[in-house]
Amino acid sequence: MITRFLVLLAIAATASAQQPSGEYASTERGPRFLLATTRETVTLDVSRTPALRRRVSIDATRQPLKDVLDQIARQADLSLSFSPDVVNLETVVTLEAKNLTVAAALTEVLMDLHVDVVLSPGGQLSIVRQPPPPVVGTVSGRVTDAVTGQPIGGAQISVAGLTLTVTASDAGLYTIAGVPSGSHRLTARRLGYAAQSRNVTVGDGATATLDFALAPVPTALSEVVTTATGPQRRRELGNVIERIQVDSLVVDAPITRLTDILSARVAGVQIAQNTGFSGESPRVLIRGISSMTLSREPLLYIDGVRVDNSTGAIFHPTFGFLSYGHAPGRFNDINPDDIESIDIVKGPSAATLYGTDAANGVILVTTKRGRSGAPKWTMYTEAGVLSPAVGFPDNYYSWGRNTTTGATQRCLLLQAAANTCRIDSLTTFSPLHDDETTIFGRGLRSQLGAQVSGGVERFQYFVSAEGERERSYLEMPAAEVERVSTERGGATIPDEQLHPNAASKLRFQGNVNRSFANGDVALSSSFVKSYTRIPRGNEFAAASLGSGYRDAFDGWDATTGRPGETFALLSAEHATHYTNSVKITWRPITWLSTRGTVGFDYSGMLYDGLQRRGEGGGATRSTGRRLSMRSESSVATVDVGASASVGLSSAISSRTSIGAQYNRLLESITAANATGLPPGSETVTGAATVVASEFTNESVVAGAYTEQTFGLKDRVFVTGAVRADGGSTFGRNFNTAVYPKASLSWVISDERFQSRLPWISSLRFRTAFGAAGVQPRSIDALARVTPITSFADGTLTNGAVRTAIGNPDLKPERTREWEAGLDVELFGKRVRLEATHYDKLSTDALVNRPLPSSVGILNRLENLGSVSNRGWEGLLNAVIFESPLLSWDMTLNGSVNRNRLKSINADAIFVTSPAGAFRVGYPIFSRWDPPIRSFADANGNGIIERNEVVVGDTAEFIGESTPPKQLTVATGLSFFRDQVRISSQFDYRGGFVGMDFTELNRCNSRGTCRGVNDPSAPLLEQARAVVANGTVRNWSGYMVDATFVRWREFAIAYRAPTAIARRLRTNSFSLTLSGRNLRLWSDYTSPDPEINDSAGALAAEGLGGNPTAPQTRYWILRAAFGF
Amino acid sequence: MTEIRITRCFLVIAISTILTAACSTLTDVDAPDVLQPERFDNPAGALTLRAGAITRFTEAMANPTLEYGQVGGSGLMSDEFTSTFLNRLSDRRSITTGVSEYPDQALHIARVALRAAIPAMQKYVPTPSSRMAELFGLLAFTELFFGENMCSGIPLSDIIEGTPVYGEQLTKTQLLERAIGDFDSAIVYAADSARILNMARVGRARALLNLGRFSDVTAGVAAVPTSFVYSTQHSASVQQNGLFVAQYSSRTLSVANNEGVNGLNFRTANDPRVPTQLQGIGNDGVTQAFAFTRYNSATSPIPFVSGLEARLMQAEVELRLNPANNQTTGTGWLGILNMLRGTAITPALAPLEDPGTPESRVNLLFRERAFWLFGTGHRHGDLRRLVTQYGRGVETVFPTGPYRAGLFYGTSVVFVPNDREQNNPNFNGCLDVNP
Repeated sequence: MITRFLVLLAIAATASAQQPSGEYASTERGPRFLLATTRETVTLDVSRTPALRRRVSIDATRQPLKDVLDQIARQADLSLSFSPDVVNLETVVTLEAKNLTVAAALTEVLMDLHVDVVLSPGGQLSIVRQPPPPVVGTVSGRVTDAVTGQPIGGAQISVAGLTLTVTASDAGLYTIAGVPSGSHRLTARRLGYAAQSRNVTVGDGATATLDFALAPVPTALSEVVTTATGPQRRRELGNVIERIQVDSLVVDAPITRLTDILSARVAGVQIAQNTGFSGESPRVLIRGISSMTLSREPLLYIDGVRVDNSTGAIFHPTFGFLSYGHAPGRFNDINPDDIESIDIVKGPSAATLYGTDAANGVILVTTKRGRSGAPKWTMYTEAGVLSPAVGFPDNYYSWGRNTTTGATQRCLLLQAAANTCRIDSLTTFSPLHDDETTIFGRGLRSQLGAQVSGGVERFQYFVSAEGERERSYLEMPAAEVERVSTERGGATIPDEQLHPNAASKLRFQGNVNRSFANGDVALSSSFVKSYTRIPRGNEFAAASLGSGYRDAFDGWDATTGRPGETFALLSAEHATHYTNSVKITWRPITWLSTRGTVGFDYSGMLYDGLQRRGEGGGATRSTGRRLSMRSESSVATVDVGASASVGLSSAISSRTSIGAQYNRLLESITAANATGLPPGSETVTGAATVVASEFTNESVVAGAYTEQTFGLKDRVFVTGAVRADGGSTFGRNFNTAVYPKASLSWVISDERFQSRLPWISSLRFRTAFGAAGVQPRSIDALARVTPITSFADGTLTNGAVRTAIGNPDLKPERTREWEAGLDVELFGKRVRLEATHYDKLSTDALVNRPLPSSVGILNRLENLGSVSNRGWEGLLNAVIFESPLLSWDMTLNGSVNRNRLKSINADAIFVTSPAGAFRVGYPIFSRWDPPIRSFADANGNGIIERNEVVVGDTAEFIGESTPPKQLTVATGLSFFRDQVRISSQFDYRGGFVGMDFTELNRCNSRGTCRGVNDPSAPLLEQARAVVANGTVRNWSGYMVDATFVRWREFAIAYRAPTAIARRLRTNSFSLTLSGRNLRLWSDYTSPDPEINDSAGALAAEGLGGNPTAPQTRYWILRAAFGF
Repeated sequence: MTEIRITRCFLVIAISTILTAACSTLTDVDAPDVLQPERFDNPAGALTLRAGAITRFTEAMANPTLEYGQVGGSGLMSDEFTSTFLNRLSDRRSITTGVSEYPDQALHIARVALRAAIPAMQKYVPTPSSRMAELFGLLAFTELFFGENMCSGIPLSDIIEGTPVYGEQLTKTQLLERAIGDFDSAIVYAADSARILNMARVGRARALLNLGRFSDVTAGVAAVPTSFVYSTQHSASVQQNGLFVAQYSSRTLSVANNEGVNGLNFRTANDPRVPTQLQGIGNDGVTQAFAFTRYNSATSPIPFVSGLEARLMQAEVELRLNPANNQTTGTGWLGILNMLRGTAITPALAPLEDPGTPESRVNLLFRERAFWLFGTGHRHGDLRRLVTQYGRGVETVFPTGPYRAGLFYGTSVVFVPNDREQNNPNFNGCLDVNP
């Protein structure tokens, strides 16, 4: 019902606005009603003109026009003058009507006579001849990038003084019909480019050609951005949309994947790096965490098609082949070199029209397009070395003797304090720090790619192909290779065990544009074949839990095993991923633009886990394990819409949009998990036991929207919109989710009073309000019984148990957001400042309400809570110094977010980990435990004992797990007209507390940390170990400030001048040396504050740092050639 | 003009109709993984629910991911097993509110699954009735375990027509009496199966023993043959024996020896009833891990109900009622014990002599129980009974004194419910945490 209402509303709005108020109205058959003033003649509002609303009743059948006009004037008591020079008064007309208004009567009898009715200030009505129809022509042309020559789709071209505006096709082509003959000034605008104005003379009935070559510049108000409703000028939007121009970035920075582009470049956008494994898929977090149970990933669209970018969805729960923190995902499949730009829609205030699922923001990726002309080739290649960005701590072992027997034994501090043993000496060792035992080697990276683009005026193409290989820094040490080989009878050890972490990708992208008179068709197709091999991760646990001296296991933990054992457990992912889309844009008339996109995104993954018989295992060798898991994920997208842009008057413009979207996600997993493999076998066939499982998840969101924008004098823009969604995951008692939106944009710098401050180039205030949602899984609303394989009566048989009681009232989480901000450009755009305040509130937050144990079912998903994220974002971009020989620019972007659990509307008591607790009034997933109040070595034995530590009685808030503060400083020096550019980026994240599980386990599971071994260890280290192992477990001592500053990027780029490039027989040549993750400053006690051991598990956000691969340091040399 | 309006109206109506109709069907999806409860309203469904309930019960008994289940959990709290995790609070008797470390959740899941399967079987597969009897018996055992190992005041909730119905708190006595009631049902339905009948008889007697109703115990188990065994069922692929996994694979569980001063010498006694084998260094990298080799396979059954237990219960009753009958053979308490030592294991164990004093006789009896019933989930209940029924002090029977790595044993003697039980409005904490 609501959908129907919205469509009616949208159509009605469009229909009412379809008549442009141009200077001429030659298409109208009836007379215009005009008011003659001393300066000009203006259109009358008939409904508000009493003289024209008077009523008459006429009964005239085939009478002369003059007679009928006289009757009308007489009955209405009006003075109506007309002349036979203007109109043939003998024309025979028929009018039989009662109680008709004067205006209607005159319209009827003067139909098709090409006259107007003019009302004088004195109340006299006159019939005058209409001016002759204007002589018009057409302007057409092409909009391209002045630097690259690439077409600029979506650019808006407007004619000064007229309300004629069109949007260029994806091929950059535009046509404006109905332009009055004469000279005109046209302006082309596009986000990321400087607006350009050019003059053109239009002849009678002729077509003039006018091309634009826009120069790229930082975002400015005059440019155009792509929104859910199509291209729109940025000045019209009340919300901030950030754009990253990727073209130049891949030259000037160490970019190896999509998340490298997003990392620290947009305020409020955080990349959670998870681990340093090659092939990892980090997560993206925009403006804080809103959900306690659902994904917080933003939506990803590539060329208008929604792409499944979920992470961790493919985790297999029973096999455990995946590493700590390893989250497989498809987010980084796209080739950064194929990307033209990325638009980031941050929150619901901007993402409303993307509807359910868009509450976490939307990332819109646009790939490169072809350009007309001869084929232009670009080839690039890069090579790099990889190493761990940080090290690991040493393990400790305290040697001692039993005080009773005198026997040698390990003597921990508390045992010494209890006088059961006496410490003789202390050793420290880490197998990661010894050249003979370490698994930290030197990784390698290589990449080779080629792109070609070209075409003719109405047909362009862009094709690219790239191959990429990366082998991480993990490698089996030489001594271990020898040992394992000997153990296996001299067999050669497979490379996947020698180098257990590697990733490779083969990517193709093909884009084609075909333009027609009033539209164009764009085809996009990408194909990625990837292979990722990641070890299970226990090698880092084995390193951190080792003995503390070089024992028979080379200092590795004996239970877990040496690299020869841990690397024998392989986990690989083979993925095939393609995304195809067809986008049709059709402009049937100048003021109406329609579009439709149909696309399909498909990912097919094969998870390949293998531990051969006799390889790996602890004290006894494994009998072999095998996981063969096939997973498919597909997303179908249909997106249709229309926008009508008209001028309602010389001061007021209108833009009306309607649209509908449909997204269907289908995931399916089939897995076979085998143990006990036959000798030499690498498949499940013949295994002693095989367990099979299957999983399917399908969800659909279908919605429609309408949006209306009014502009006042091109300075003030007011927008209202609403979207309604139906979803497959909603409970049966909930049907439609409705999301409203409103925004205001005021370009203050265009006001007259602003001209007194000439140093302000532009100034805009904007504010927006909007809502969006996130939906639960498809099965969450349903009561269900889960089938299992049972062993009963001595045989394997079908079994089933009830696992959920369902929730018929389940609905999507709903997030509403208000934001307001200022955009300022100073000193001729040399300084640009953006500041935004946002206030986001998620209601109906989905929470797994814990049921009492006695019910026998763990949870019930309910819409119980509300979560608030409130904060500031800022961007400062300045060209500090600029000259032909040297320029210096600097960019600061930062954000502060305040996350709070506002309420849980239930009396439920939540059982959450101290490392990620929910407490009303505090950040979600925050750290809670009774704090260590004080400690002192009261008995003077140099050892902190349990009774010497005072711990709080109740759990207290210790900190939040996600960084609330972020600041990035990027700076660059350009020499010799940008031929050489040196750039660097520093990334700060602060205000959060890490959960140092690595140290916790070292101290309390294996006793390998300093705090339980070394009598000279700081008392705090001793105290936290003591309370963590006390009568009541307490982790507070390992909840450590994880604030850090990371030297994230450094690059030196050289762009050869044309002369040198020619000498190399190329058109262009660039060479870049860049580094990533170069230095870390942090007081965090675990190796890397950026690793997260539970990246794939939604409900364990920020749980902590179990030992896993630290971030990778890259040094990359890249060369690019243009032909 | 009119034409245009008509066209607009038609367009609006058409698009609205299409969208409205489409939205109602476009969002329909398949959920093949989801089986609605109604699908099981048939004979095949009932049998499937029965098998699922048995699986859940088995998992609650010995699941490596749930603190080793009932057997391992109670063994840790007592002197049977020790953990190679320093943080295992149950092993250190340091259970506090908020940290349960007992698979009460798994037991509740099993109990609810059994409660759902019983009416389905009654309705659709009433014969052979011993199937229902088995479900009643297992249900009774879940209630028995709550009473035997946990604090007093455990509620038993249900799901009725898809809605949770929260149970009231039950005292230890009420829980055991409820178990007896369900064992009685099992006995009624078990007429066509001696195996299930004996399982119910022994279980009922065990509940009576916990209640101290010694005079009622003997009659119930007299007919149970000594060779009778009812075990959990495990396969290599599903329902693996969690004790095997914990001892052999992860080496997080080890047979204890003289644990905490009072513990029995399960390892060094070299008693064939508790065969052990060194597995190497345990998970903590320090402690030697010894496995109970009767569970040396993922498929090893756990004989948690047996004729041995029936005889031991008879011996205990005899000792209480007729301690003077200390003949080394015959039907007196010592005669029964020696009968077992002579016939229930090969080669036979040497017969016992009467130690003479009441206290030492009790010690002897409970030691025999500990070794015969090792690793079957009885020892924790026995320690509690030593306190409540034989007047022993807690610190004379439970592990006490220094633990490992400078830590000390705590004072816990029972497990407490998982914190999530606080979401039951009828639950206000344990009524009694004493033995």
